[in-house]
Amino acid sequence: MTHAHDPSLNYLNCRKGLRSWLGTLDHKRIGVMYMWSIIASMILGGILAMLIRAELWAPNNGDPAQAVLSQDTYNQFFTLHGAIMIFLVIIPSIPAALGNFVLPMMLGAKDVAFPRINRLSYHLYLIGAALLVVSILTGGLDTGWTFYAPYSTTTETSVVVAVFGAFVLGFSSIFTGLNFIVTIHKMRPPGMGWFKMPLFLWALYATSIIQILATPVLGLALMLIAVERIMGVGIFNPELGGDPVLFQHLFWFYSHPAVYVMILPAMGVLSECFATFSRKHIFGYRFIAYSSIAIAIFSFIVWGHHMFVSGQSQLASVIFSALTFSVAIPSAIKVFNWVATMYKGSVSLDTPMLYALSVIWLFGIGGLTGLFLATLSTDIHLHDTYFVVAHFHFVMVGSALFSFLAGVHYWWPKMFGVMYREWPGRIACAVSFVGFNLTFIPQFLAGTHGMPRRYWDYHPMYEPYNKVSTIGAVILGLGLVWALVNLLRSFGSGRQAPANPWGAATLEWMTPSPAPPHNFDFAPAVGDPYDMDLVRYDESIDGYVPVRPHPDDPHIPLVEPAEQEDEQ
Amino acid sequence: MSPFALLAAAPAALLQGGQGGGIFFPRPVTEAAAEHDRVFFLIFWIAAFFFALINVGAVVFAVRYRRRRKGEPVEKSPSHNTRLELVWTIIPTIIVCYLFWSGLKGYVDRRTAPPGAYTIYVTGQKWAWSFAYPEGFASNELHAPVGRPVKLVLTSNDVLHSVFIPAFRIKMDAVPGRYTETWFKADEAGRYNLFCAEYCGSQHSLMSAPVIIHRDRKTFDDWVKSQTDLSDLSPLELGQRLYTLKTCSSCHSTDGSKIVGPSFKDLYLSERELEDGSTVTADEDYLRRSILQSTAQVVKGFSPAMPDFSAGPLKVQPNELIGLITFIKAQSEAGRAELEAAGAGAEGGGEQQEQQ
Repeated sequence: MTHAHDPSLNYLNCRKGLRSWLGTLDHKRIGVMYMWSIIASMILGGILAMLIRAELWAPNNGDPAQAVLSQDTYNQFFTLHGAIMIFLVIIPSIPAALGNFVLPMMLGAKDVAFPRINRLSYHLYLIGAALLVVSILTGGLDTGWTFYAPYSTTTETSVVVAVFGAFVLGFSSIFTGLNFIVTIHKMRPPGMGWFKMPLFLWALYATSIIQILATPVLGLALMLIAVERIMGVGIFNPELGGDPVLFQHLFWFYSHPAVYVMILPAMGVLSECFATFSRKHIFGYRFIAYSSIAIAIFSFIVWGHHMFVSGQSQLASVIFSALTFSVAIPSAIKVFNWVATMYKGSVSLDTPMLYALSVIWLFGIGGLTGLFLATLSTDIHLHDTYFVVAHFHFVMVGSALFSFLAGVHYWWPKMFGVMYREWPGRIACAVSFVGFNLTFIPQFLAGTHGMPRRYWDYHPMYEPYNKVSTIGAVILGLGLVWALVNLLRSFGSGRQAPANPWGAATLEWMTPSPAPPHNFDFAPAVGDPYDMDLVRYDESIDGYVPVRPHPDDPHIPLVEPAEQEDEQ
Repeated sequence: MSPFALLAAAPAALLQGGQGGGIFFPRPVTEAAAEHDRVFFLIFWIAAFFFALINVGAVVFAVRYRRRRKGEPVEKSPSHNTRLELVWTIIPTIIVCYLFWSGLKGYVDRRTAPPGAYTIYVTGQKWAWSFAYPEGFASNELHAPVGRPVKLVLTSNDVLHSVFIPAFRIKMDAVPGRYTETWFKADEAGRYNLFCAEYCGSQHSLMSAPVIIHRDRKTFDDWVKSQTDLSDLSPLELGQRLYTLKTCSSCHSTDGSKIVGPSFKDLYLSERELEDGSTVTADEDYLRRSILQSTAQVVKGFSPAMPDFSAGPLKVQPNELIGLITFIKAQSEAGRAELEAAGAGAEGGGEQQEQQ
């Protein structure tokens, strides 16, 4: 290949123009486009969140004249906030943006197995997002992101367009999952057995299984809503002979596993960060790998815990409660292993690690408050209160979004070839962390005192909690904007990134930053992904270089031909 | 209050909690609520222990092993320890089994009403609750005496709703097309909140009802009697009763103040300016239409937020309609004069409203 020897050519500058981006088959460009789309959606969802918090600043005493938003506007805003943040931000954030960018490189491969399907999956994402926008413009959506029937089959807002949008987004997610599974199965390089894979890939693999098995059920449930609305077939509405509880079963059969589509890849990012920034082999590799698969399997048998007070039978609730606790164990294992990884390490507090450490705290709260909701007795009281709102924000935002930010900062040098400034990055992380806790910890207390969720107005006794929460939301918003600005400033003033700025041993760092169009000019040899002795710090470039560089390519360490791993 | 003053005051406010309860909960007023709180704090302390363990561990390691110099050598340490990892797999497994078990009893107890419980049928409809008592009347308030088990049998006329009484720690969805049930036995007289906890549209957050626990059987029986015995009432007295019973009072004042809807004071025969700019005189026909079809002629500056009183659990019967119109007339000079002339006796109306 001729360009292989032109060191100035990389995947960003090899072709120019909008069409070269939208029509690209390059997984890195697709990953980067996903990332900007997700950040744009996040800004939109964030503005809605701020408006929601503004409305909840003070009680309205039932009077629309005292309110910031009317009831109907408020209901549309929290619906869109949920739908955008879940379907357009958190679900695709790590798998589609970071996973697309990193996965083939971690395998030493040129691309994913099916680049055209990958492009289609991004185009479907854009179409799905556009449909959600159309639904806003043609009457809005006021069902909550959960689309509970029979409200969703009887309300006058544009439910059909919105569910079609979610349906299309589901296919985008399925295609990404399919692509990742095939890529991981078929494109691992010689010497990379399953247990030589970076843990991020285990996490993406487990995520992909959920995406392809659960998402079709959501598509089905949403289409049945459209069928009931358009053709009047009684599926969920009892007036037509349907059953509203059936919808909840179908919906949560997808949407509970979807929670793990959000958190599993986040856990993968954390595993990479804890190893790299401690300069240590990850502790308990196999337990972490197996726990990803365990979470993926358990995630399919716990959906009924959303329905303890829905009217499902007592026996079903008891069984679902017991099964739900099973998820706690692999989650706990991962956290213990991350903390143990730092033991006797050389722990740096660079921005990605700071986000990762924040997640220990935030996922600690998010995960442990799940115990109260899995327990039957306490869930009766806490279900559908702000306790649940706080709990899932700690998991989806505090854990998944903060891990996404850890990943964005971690792989930013590889994506764009520039280093952001470290101190503003750290401060932005700290501000977001403080703001986040201030926003959501008071919501736990509002919830235990009985404030129901999705309330436009509330009893005055809940005012102190809401005041603090709104102040916290402003601080959180400032922190996130600060982080984004700091990242964007690196384009102008950031120093040139070395190939391996953090000292990681996974393959994506064994090529220049930003990566060449085909990832590697020379096929990298596979070592242990967490053998930090393969690289050493080089002061002259403020980055890491192989201890024993390969004679043909200085970015690649020379490793013994790996013994063929037994695959049990 | 400035945001800074608020922040300073926040910890105290948070710790104090609402309604005289603790940091976490309103005071429990049923045995089931006390049992719930016991399970909650059991989980809380276990969770707090593990939370402290991982965070102290993370902070101590991050400080103790912080990187002092880039490229510093790292001491070799094991990358796995199967025995240790089995320990931190098995201990959480045992703990969660125990938590499951501890939550089981409270759940089954609160879902299974004791035999012979006093049964009230609860119907949700956008956006009000109706409670049908075994004595054959319905009210928009939930009344019960201290110490008597009360079973609530729930359903809905439209979408999903959910009965949630925080002080009793009970919650159950009201599902159209089927009955669900829950129950309580309150040990303390008082007035508590009932919220709708399942999202149901525009007025979801306003769909609440008072729960009134009478101090003994006699005061409760008196209340039942007052509800069942409406036959002797004059239209004005009936209207006055309905003003609180049908929850008109939560949106319409009688003293001229604006709540959600227009005040009834001096309403009768006044000129009303509507949303579309036209005006209409608030005569009896206007009042009738506004009660039965509240969205037909919305007064300027108000939103069409009133529930449907022409059908469903809130349905206003013909004699009740006359009562309500009479009551509204009695809130204005012109109406009182008219009622006096007709000999209906307007002295019962006016300012002296019965509060609960």
